[in-house]
Amino acid sequence: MKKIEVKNLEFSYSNQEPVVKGLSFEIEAGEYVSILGHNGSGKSTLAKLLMGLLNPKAGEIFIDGEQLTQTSVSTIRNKMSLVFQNPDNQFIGSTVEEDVAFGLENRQFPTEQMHDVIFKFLKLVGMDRYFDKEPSNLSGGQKQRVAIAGALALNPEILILDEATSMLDPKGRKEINELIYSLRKENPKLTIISITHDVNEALFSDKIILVSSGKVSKVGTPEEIFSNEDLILKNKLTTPFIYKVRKALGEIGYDVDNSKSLDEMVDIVWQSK
Amino acid sequence: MSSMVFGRYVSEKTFVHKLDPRTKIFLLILFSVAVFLHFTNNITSLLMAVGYLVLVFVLMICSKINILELFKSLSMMWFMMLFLLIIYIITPVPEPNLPVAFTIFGKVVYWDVFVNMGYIIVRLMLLISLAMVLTSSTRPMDMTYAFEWYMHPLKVIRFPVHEIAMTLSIALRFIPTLLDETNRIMKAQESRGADFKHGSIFKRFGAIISLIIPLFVSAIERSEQLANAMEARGYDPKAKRSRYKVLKGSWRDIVAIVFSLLIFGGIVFLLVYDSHVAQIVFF
Amino acid sequence: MAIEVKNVSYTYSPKSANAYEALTNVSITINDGDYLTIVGQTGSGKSTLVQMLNGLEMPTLGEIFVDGVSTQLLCKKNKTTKELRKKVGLVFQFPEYQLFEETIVKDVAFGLINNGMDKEQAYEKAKEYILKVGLNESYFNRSPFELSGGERRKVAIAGILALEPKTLVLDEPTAGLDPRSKKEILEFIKSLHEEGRTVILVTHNMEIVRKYANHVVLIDGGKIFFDGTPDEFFLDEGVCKIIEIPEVISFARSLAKKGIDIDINRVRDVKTLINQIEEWRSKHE
Repeated sequence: MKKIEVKNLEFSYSNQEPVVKGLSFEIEAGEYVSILGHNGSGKSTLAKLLMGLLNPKAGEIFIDGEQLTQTSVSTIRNKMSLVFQNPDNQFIGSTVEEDVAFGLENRQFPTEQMHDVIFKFLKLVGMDRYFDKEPSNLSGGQKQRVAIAGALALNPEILILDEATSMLDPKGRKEINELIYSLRKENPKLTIISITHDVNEALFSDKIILVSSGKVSKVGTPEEIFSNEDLILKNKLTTPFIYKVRKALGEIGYDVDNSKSLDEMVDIVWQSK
Repeated sequence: MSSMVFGRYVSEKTFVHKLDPRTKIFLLILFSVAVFLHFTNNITSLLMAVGYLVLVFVLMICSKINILELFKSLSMMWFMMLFLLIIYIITPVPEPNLPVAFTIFGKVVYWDVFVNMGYIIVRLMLLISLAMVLTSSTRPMDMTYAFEWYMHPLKVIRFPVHEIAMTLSIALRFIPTLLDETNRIMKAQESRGADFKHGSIFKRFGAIISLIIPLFVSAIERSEQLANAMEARGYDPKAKRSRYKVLKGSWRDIVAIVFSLLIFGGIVFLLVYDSHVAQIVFF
Repeated sequence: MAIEVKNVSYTYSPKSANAYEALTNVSITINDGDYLTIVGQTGSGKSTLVQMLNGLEMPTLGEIFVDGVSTQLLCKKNKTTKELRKKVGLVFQFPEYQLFEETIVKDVAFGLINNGMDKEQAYEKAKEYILKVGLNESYFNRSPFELSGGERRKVAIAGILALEPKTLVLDEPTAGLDPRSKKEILEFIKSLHEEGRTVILVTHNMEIVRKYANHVVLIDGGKIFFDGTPDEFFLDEGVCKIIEIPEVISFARSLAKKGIDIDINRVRDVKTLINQIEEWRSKHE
């Protein structure tokens, strides 16, 4: 059984042009999937549809084989956590610890156990020292780390990151990407869906679902997607640096087709002399 | 970035800070009542006023509140004092056989005017200081928790206590964010030549519109995103929720309440035996 | 010389308990026609610095001279900073959030009307600049709130450009945009620079420094850490400890470290790097 199955999903805001038109894909349990597309491709609407925050005009979403409907939404939502783009607008508690507590309180988590759970996850994201800080005293990256702690504290099977790094500076972005990397190692069962327009983030995923004008234009591994220059161009994206270099080196005769890292390519160039 | 605001919460670890916010609110109400109890005897009133002032100053020192800050805020009261004085002078006095201070524009001014005004000012000052002790020793969020606790009985008549408390806490949480935003939009419009400080009222009005509309647009956008974030984390205003921070009284609250009730009892006692005390003082 | 920042310090809420020095003794000389990028981490004081350039903030210590006149003097003389704003236009971070009028033309004309131009004339000029930022006539009477993020940002930039400042300051003009909009905005700024404007751009994006700038200043902890040309910048050992340098430069560096002759000054993009690798290879064959 697939973890997530989306079939012919359609959605439009009130009377406007549809933003999602016939979207279908599948995601396996434990996969780290990037949903990649430029702004306006409908990918952020998709996050809200998956979470049941919006109702599709047509099509179906299945989580663990169960269809997402008005009646099943609350139980299905318990399996998923969503981290949004804007660090400020998802910080609900007045302090770091109270923000992590917010979701737990909603699930009627027992008060006596809350403290331990909150601090376990704050430690995981490296924010335990800031437990009593207010959001105005935190950087964007720190707020996003708190949001991730709040999402993980709910013990989700699926974590959706909706452009979670796009409003951060390079330092904040690096912090979050490193955190996601360590999360995957520690919890291989967790299914992670990262919705992004940053090709460098998508580089490390198991699978990329390329979305364009509300449709899936291609599903494949990063290798399959990024070595196809026409595809990248057509989807208004940029090629990640490593693929650019690999192609350019290949063109001047270096055998770098199987190189997985820049360091390997440096070695190949050096040894060829 | 915002400079010190009067009565803003200052994180400390004093006895007063550690008190349960419910206790503090109760005591504030108790002492506000006490401050406005009226003594018929002037000397008792004077002694009481001095007593209160000492008490409040001790309280402020105990909770490490900057007393200078208080005086700065009191300087705003000059205008009110003047206003009070005028009201007192023009209101007719029921007993015209009081000592006369002076006559101005053909109107007789009695000494009592100044005495009464003095009392009102002292009382307001006491109230302000007490409120300041509360707000600077209690986190706003704890205050909303206490508020929710006090309003609890109203749930019986379907008063949306929880919703109001949640709204209040989110409003408090977003005040600094919106202040920053206001500051930013103001500067952005200033760099487009908007002038918030000079020029005709008409021009300034235009500048203010250029601030308010973007501020509203962004606040609405924020609230939408916030609502989504809350829903995504399973918030349902109708559903039962557990609590992370539970208000818990400690021995401190018992000490504070017992001590305060003793003082309050003493004040009531004095009130009843007002005239007797006056005699003791005189002889 | 267009702008001279001389020993400037800036303190937030001075005299209070939480006084905080955002900038310490900063001096920069910006020449006419410069394309200056100001880089540094969030909270390093760069936004404060650019706000001082057009008089939104005044230095606590030191002075800033625009065309040889001190900003303090300019503002004192006219009671307002209008004179200064005509010389130095500042586009804020996320400027799309400052739009408020019913139509785009009116919004772009807002600054012009504030500066005393009459309405008809201002609307004409606004239209001219809307076209200039790459939007067509169909946009004139649309509401700014129905546009996409990238389009709104262009409108906001047009609003400042219409004031025709000699120096244009932009605080992170590409933040949050997708690659395509990013490129459009950057190419547009480049064309403005080529027209002879001085451009000052605050950014986190080192590609911009590499590709467009001729002058770069790195601010760290409120102090100038580096002031020079991009070439020197990317060679500086200290710089790369503070910020992330472009991948092409770091790749060129690791090649150079191995012993391959690469002149980092000449590395602009993948193509220029590959050319050097080929040169090196032909030398060794």
